[in-house]
Order: sequence, then C-alpha cells, then structure tokens
Amino acid sequence: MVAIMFFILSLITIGGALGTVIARNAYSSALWMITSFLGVSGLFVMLNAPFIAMLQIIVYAGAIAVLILFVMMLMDRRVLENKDRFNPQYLWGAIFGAGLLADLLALALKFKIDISQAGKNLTINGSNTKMVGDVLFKHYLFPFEMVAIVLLVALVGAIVLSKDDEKEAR
Amino acid sequence: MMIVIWGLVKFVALMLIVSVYVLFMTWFDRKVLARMQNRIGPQLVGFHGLLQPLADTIKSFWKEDIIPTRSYRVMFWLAPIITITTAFAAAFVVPFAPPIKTASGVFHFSVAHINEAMLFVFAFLGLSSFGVLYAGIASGGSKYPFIGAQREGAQMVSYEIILALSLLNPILMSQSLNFEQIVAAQTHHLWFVFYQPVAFLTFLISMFAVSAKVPFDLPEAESEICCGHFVEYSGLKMGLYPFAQYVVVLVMSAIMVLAFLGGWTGPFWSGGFIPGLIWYWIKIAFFIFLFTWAWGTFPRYRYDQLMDIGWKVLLPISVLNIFWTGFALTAGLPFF
Repeated sequence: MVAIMFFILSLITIGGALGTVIARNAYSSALWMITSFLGVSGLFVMLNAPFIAMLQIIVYAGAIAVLILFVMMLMDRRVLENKDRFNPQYLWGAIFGAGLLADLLALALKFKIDISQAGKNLTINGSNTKMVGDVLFKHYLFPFEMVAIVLLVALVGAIVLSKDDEKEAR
Repeated sequence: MMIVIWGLVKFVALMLIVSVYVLFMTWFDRKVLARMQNRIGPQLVGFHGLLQPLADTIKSFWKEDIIPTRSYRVMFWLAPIITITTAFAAAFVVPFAPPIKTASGVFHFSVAHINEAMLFVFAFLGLSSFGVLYAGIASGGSKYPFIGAQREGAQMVSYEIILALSLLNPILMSQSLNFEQIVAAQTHHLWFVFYQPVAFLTFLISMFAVSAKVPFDLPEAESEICCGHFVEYSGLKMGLYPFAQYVVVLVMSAIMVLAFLGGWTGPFWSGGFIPGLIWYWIKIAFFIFLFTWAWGTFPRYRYDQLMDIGWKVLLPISVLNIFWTGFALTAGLPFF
C-alpha cells in the first residue's frame, strides 16, 4: 500500500520534471512544473513532514509558479511559441545530468538500497511543526535573521535596478 | 482499512452536500439580489422558483460546447478541472460539524483531519488561481480572458499574503494550525474577534478579494471585460467557474467562523440551549449572505485602488497587528 503510493508519487514527480524540460509550449511546461511540485509535497507527506509539504505547495506552486506564469503572460505570446525547445547549451546540461544519475546509481548500488522498504516512514512520528519552529527560532535564530536580511537586500536591489530614473527618462 | 472507508464515505458526502449547496446558492443569490432590486426573481419553476437551479443544470448539459480553434486544447479542458478540484480540495480539511466523542475515539466531520489544516487550505486556495490563469492563456490570445487572468493572478498573490497574515493572529493565540484546537482555544477565552478586531477586518476584506466576489471581482468584471477569464467557455465548462467560486465562498466563510467567531461555540449568554452544530451553520450562513449582500450593494473598485488597498493599507496594518499580538502574548497582557 505505502510502496504503491510512493511509486505513484515518484512517478508524478519525475514525470512532471521530465515534462517541464521537454514540453514544447512554455505554458504547459509551467503546468508540468506544478505537477512535479505537488509530487514532491506528497513525498514530504509520506515522510511525516506535513508542514514542509504544505510550505512546498504554498511557496513553490502557489507563489513562485504564479509569478513565473505571470511573467510569461506579460511576454509576447508569439515569441514564446516560436522559441526552440532547448537552448544551445543543452549538451552540457545533458552531460551534467548523466553524471549525477550515474553518481546516484553508484551510491544506490554501494549502499544496497532495499526496494521493499520503499515509502516506509523511517522518521520520528508525530507533528513536526512545533519542532521546526523550535529549531529555527531557538538554535538557528541568527542564520535565520541573516537570510531575512539577504532577501531584503535582494528585494531592494531588484527595485533599484528595475526602477526608471524619472529625471533621465523624461 | 477503516480509515480509508470512512475517508471515502466522508468524501462522497462532502461532494454531494457541497454540490447541493452550490445549486441552491444560485437560487438564493438570485432571490436576494432580486429583492434588493425590487424584482421577484425566479418564481415559475417549483415553489418560489426553488427548482430553477435544477432546470438550469439540465439546460447547461445540452448546451453546445464551443472550443475556439486557436486555443490550446488540453489546457482549455484542464483549466476548469483544476479550478473545481482545488476548490473542493480546500474544503477537505474544513470541519462541517463539531467533533463527536465515540467509544473508539473522536469522530471528526472533515474528510481529512490533519494538524496543518490551516496551511492546507491556504495551499489549495493558492493553487485554485491556476485554473483561472490557464483559462486566460488557453483561450488562445483572446483579449478579455487574458486580461481577466492577469488580474486574477496579481490579485491572488497580493491578497493571499494579507489573508495569511491576518489568520496568523488566531494561530499565534491558539498555538495551533488545527481548526478544532483553534475553536477549543476560543472556548477558554472569548472569541478571537474580541481580541483581534483589526485582524478580523483585514480578513473580511481579503476574503472578498481572494474569492473574487463583488467589491473586488476584477477578474470577471462583467461591465468592463464581460466575464473576463471565462468569456470563451460555454456550457458545463463555463458553469464550473461560478461553481468553484461558490465552494471557495463556503470555505472562506467557514474559516472566518472557525478562526474568529468561535466555530460551534455559542455566545457566552446563550447557555447551551442551542446545539453547536446549529450555531456553527447560522454563523456560516451569515457570512455567505454577506457575500450576496455586498454583491447587491457595493460598486466595483478600480484595479489600482485594489492594489493600493492591499499593499499600502492592509499589509502594513496586518504586520503591525502581528507585532502587537506577539507583544501582548509575551508580555502576558490581561485577557491574552
């Protein structure tokens, strides 16, 4: 039962990722990407991490994918449709991906991963929302604040770079 | 195995109840709007037009299904399906009645009783905007759906933040993401609306914006972009968009009642004569009526006004309100 669920979810995740890369149309590519995110969040649920699973949907599928789609809607539709499926650097990407796959396969063979254990939850039982909060805001408060400041700097930087200087423009 | 069977039973029950609710909401909306405009409304089919929604449904089955030639076909099919699925998925974790204590444990009246219910609702309400966005894209360069979809995208992204920020206050006060525990926290205190009037108001405003109902119904503004994202849709596929919107209205009203108005607890003076179930649905029905009321009485905001209200007024207020709540909770102010 659990193993079947695991394989369905991994199929959704991998299929979605594959679809993102090979879809001809940029819009359907985005839809495949959302499918992949949903699969990943399902895997998180299976790992007894519902908090992270929900954040995965809210942040990646709900916010980032909407922004990507939004940017695509602001572009000219005909430009998007006539784009090539791959850019000229695809060979390097393919080599890198093949290397990663070989690496993971080698690891799987070395550690003799047992397929019959697929999908079994080996983590601590129970809700982890409180745990995440405790760890984040008690032990790692300083790195957390640093990340917040870095993101703020990026935000301000984006506004400064993209804003027209009104005096120069007119 | 029992949990799977019960899950399926609850799932089917939820689908049936919500579908019937949507059917009669269309009747209710038309009657209330007609009353506000000094008309009669549906009257001929059945008693006071009560069978009108059934007649409309049967009619929409026989409508010609037109798909524009330039549309992306698969996406055009998928868009309404995504909208309706995510709207129903958001309703999965909402309890539809107070939990019952049985011999073998507590029986919950939500399809999935999870601890992160609040986040689950956010996640799937956020996803429901994709149906609208893809409706605009798939309509094949048709202008009005495209404008409507863009508006929906921008509106959802901005108002989901305010929705989440205003719900953070009840979450902080009850220290839980579970609806039943949030309600339980309100039985020890007063209802959260008395502690959090500002969060209540920001939630009320963003509730209308997220479900794209009248003061903020810019994605489908009939009078300017003639129904926006579903201009190109016809027949049943078109019907799915208002359907999903009614489901979202129900979910939002239920969250409002659960988070701010004490769920199934009556007011402190009621003394428990009326069962919790009835209190719960009276409150939900009031908020559903509020949506219709606003529909009949409010003019539509302009798009820039919508964005100004969201980012320049509601967002700073909700952030300050969270600071206040955090301060009040750590300082241990009376009543907190």
